[in-house]
Amino acid sequence: MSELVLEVKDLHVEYAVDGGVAKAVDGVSLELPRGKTLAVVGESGSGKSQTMYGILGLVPQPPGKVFGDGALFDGEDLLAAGEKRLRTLRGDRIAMIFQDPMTALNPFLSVERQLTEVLEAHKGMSRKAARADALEMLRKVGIPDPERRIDQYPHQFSGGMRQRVMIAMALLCRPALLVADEPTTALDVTIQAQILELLRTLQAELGSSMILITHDLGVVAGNADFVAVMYAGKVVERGTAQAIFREPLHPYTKGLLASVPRLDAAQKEQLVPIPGQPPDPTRLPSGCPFRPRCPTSTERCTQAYPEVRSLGPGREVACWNA
Amino acid sequence: MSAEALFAGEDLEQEVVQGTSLWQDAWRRLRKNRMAVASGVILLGVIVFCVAGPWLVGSSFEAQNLAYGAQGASWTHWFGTDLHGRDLLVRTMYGGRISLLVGLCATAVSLTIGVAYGAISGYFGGRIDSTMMRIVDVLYTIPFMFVVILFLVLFGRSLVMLFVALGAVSWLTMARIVRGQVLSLKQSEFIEAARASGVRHAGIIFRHLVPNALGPIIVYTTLTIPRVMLEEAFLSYLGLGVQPPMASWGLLVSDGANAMTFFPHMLLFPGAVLTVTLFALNFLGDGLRDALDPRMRT
Amino acid sequence: MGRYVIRRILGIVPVLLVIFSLSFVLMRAAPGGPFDAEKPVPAEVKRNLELQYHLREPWCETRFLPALREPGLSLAEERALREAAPGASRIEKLCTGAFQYGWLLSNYVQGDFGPSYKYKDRSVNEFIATGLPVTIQLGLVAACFALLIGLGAGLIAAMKQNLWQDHAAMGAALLGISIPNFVMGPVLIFIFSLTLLWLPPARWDGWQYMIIPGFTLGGVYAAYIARLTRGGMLEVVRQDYIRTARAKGLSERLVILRHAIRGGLLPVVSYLGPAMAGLLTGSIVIERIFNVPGIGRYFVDAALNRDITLAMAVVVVNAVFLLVANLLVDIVLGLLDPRVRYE
Repeated sequence: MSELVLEVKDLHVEYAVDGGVAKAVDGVSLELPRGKTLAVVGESGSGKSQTMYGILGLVPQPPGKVFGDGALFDGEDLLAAGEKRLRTLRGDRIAMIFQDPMTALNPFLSVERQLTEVLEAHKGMSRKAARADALEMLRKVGIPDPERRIDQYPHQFSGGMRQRVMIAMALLCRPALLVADEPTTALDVTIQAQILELLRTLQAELGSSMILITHDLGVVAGNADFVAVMYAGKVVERGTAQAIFREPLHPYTKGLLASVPRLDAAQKEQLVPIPGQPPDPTRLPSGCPFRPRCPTSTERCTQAYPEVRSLGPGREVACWNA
Repeated sequence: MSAEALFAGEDLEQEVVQGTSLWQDAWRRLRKNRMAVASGVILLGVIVFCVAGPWLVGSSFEAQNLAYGAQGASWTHWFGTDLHGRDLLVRTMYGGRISLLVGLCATAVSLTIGVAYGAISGYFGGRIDSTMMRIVDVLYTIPFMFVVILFLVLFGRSLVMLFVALGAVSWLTMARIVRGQVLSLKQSEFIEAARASGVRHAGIIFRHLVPNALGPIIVYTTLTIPRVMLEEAFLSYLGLGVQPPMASWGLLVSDGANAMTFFPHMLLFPGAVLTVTLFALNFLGDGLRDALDPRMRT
Repeated sequence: MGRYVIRRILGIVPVLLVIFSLSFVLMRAAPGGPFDAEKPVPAEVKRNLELQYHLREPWCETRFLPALREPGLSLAEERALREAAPGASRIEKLCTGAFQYGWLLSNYVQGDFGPSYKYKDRSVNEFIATGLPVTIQLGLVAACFALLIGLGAGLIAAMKQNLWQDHAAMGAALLGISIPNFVMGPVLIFIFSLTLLWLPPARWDGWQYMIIPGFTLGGVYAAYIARLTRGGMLEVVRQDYIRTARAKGLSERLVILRHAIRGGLLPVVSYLGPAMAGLLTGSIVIERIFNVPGIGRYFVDAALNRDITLAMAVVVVNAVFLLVANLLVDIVLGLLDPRVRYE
């Protein structure tokens, strides 16, 4: 087995829309070493989630289209794999946690049904055996009184508890790769910390690798080993978490960092939002898509998309001026 | 370099979005819906056919020619003739006048009741609202056509009675729709402003709230017309609506059904015109809904 | 749950009372008496008939007689005048009406709809007992057609969204909504009974008699159900929880059958209440077209004959039917959707 659990090469996800093609993901490359955590950071609409959907075969086709040079999971190209093969991987070797536990759990089915069906599908377990496993997993994710709560329905759980159910559901088959798509965005701040803590502990216990998708660099700090910053469907900067926080190179990364509240910041330093909106994916501006919002853009930025420059192992940036 | 300096004072390229009103938008979307446009054209055709047709053809809906009797379609009688030798084309035109008239008038009655009821319920809210809506819930469960039939049989079968009876039983959904709109609109600032400047309740309801709920009202009205026309035809078919020698499409279909063994054209032509009209109205209503409320689109 | 059902059943009672009263008032307010149209009968016979049907109430006649006596008439003359035109004064009419209302209501409560005005040797109950099972059969056949065709077409349309299957199904649905059943019925008779000679055109003597009427009655509802199914399913497959189900690696069959179909069919289930009302109304005309001896047919005949006791009983029986159907729909909705609380 290679040391990379996931290696994505030049992935594209496109959607046919009224009057053209929306390039949701436009040539993304990622690497994730085994047992590590990669944070994919960007504003909503930057293509972070779509990248993962593309890899996992969750893009509806049509209107979507997925292509690229490969997405190797344990050396197996997921882009070349058929839907049937992907289905056996999803939920078993690769599991996903979604952003909004209010809508991501089926309101019509009991928690028990939603947990046991995963084990039934992948492990061929009887419902009874699956129930025992599910109970244990619920206990592990910190749901009190699981024997009673397992037969309840999602609407009877609080937001934080629902997210714990989501996590339990994802971890049932002890996946090699866990994709957490904004796992804390819909939750209260105090609950956020608990959920992140839980994810970290369980990840260590199961030895899983994790992709943490977030728009909040505050979540990244202390939770990720590597960071990839995405903008308008492209990775604009890549590096270790340490490097990204210490020495951000891309103006967009700098902007994101400046908009995060920090405890160690000097008193006077203010939070600065990035002005403007991400571009419409059907009508990307010429050259660098961040140019309209970039404080340091030059003539050159309007002409061509900046080449990706490698600055060392796993350290890349795509900016003419960085 | 601090982030502040980084982003300060830079002009942003911003796309100027052309402001288009809801109605312009809706009109544009409606025109793109080819089936809806076709339905609109067909409807106009049907209206011209019924309203102006009899003058063009120039024969009476009552003119009988018993010796001639029922005949199939021919160059002199495009839709053929009925058992009394009356020209079916002209009778279909006259029948259409009645059917369209009933459709419009009964819809107007239901529109008036429904909008007023819904607006009042939504505007005053609270106890009044819950009581009024509870009544609507109860009325929904009543088999109204039976009551209408009883009413028409006992109190005479005039056209006006037909308008009133059909209108009086088809306002429930309209009331619910208008109430929902008013409930969400009445929180908005322009209503607060109107209230603060001392506009009376009736003024707020009918000058501010109802006009702003016009989209859904138009859509639902368009869908009520074919329903009411269908109900009129249904009653006339049973012999409870328009009375001979006057014609309505329901009555013509009923005559046609009785004679179809030997004269299928008597069923075919009026039935087809009725179906096409209802089809066009339903399609236009669907198209309007898509155009005025794109969120509803599936 | 049990308490909810009991409360809902209790809630039906006042609604029924309203419907009963409404039809009673219509009947009382109608000009002309029920026996006017018949050939003249001796005054004594007529009086006995009116007494039997509580259209005349001796107590009311005597109670208000002295007070209302017109000046210059003796009591005997006044009584003779009233004999000729019972209920001539408004107060007396109200009094008689109140008595009749109480009499009818107490009969209805005991399940006795009284004798028919028209067929004096038959009770209304007999008509209902022969007609109702036929109408229920017809309704069930129609409902089967509506659900089978509607759900099938709707699911296909949803799965093939914007492809030709979708357009074909939705076009057919809109056509189905637009063709009145009294046009469709004769056309189908013409094609299948008179031209192809496959199925009998009328009456009610076995399964082959049920096909055309059932299809004609159910067709419109098949169309509505197809539209609701398609809309509901398309709405549901957009939901996050369907994406979750796919991300769990479930087969497409499980995603649809276990995860999508419940939410997708909720609109169809809530529509079944109004559809039931429509089926009952539609049965009036269908039973007439196909000469089916159900209560819808009895109702129209009764209304045209001014056989008001029978007509009124049909209205009330139908109302009971509808109210119970609505209650069942609400209970099923609650069983399907755990978020619904019975309050």
